[in-house]
Amino acid sequence: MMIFNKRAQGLLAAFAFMAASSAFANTNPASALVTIYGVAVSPNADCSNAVVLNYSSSPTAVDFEQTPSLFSGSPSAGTYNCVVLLMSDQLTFTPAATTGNCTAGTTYSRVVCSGNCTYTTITNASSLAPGVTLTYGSTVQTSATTSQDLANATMVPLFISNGTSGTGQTGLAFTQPTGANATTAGIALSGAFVVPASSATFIVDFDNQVNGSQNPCDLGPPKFGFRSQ
Amino acid sequence: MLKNSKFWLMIMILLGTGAIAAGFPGCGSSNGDSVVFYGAGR
Repeated sequence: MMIFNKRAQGLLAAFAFMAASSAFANTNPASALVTIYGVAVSPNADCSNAVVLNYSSSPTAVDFEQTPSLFSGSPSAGTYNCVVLLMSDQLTFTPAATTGNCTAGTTYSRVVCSGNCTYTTITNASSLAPGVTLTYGSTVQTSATTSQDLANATMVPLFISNGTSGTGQTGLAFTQPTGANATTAGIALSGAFVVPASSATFIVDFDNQVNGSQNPCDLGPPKFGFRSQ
Repeated sequence: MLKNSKFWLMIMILLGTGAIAAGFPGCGSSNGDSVVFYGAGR
């Protein structure tokens, strides 16, 4: 009897531990609003001499889950080894399902470049327009201390390069792939962006990244991508 | 002779189709065409 009690107590303790440490399953976003300022293209894998195709200083956020048309541009025919997407690092989403601390239909905003994330500054950001070449400044650590630090959200350049194997999930997606960061910063562009092309698509994939185990509801790092045809 | 007529008719249709397609250089994309950029969630 004594032995049984000890075993029962052990089992109960194990169940209690499992319950305390159990995680809620992640879910997808029903909407993912991203603010896009513009796009630039460069023939170089280090994204130098990137020329702006389109730019707006006051864009509105668009829902990437609805495959929105962002803008159009007419790049010269050629091979571009880097595409730079100028975007806000603040993203707004609604969970597709209720899980843990995330409630379906409720709107949450998070900063995707926070904590140790770094980004390369654009020193001529105030004068960007089609045809203007991006001027890069120093690479700095973001001022956003956490993903909820919305007051420090800012425009960041997402570097999509043929010369890097970066995944965008290490806090270097917005850092120019050059020098010591040549193969780790930015995100990988599978094959060059060859013009003529009819369309190009930027992908910000938050599937299974809505995390209800965090309080408040949190958003994991997205998978960025780019494809053209 | 009939078979030959059908053969030449097919050739003419094929050539005509090719000529029409060649008359639209903007089909697909060409140098200087606009590229539309989209966003997507996956």
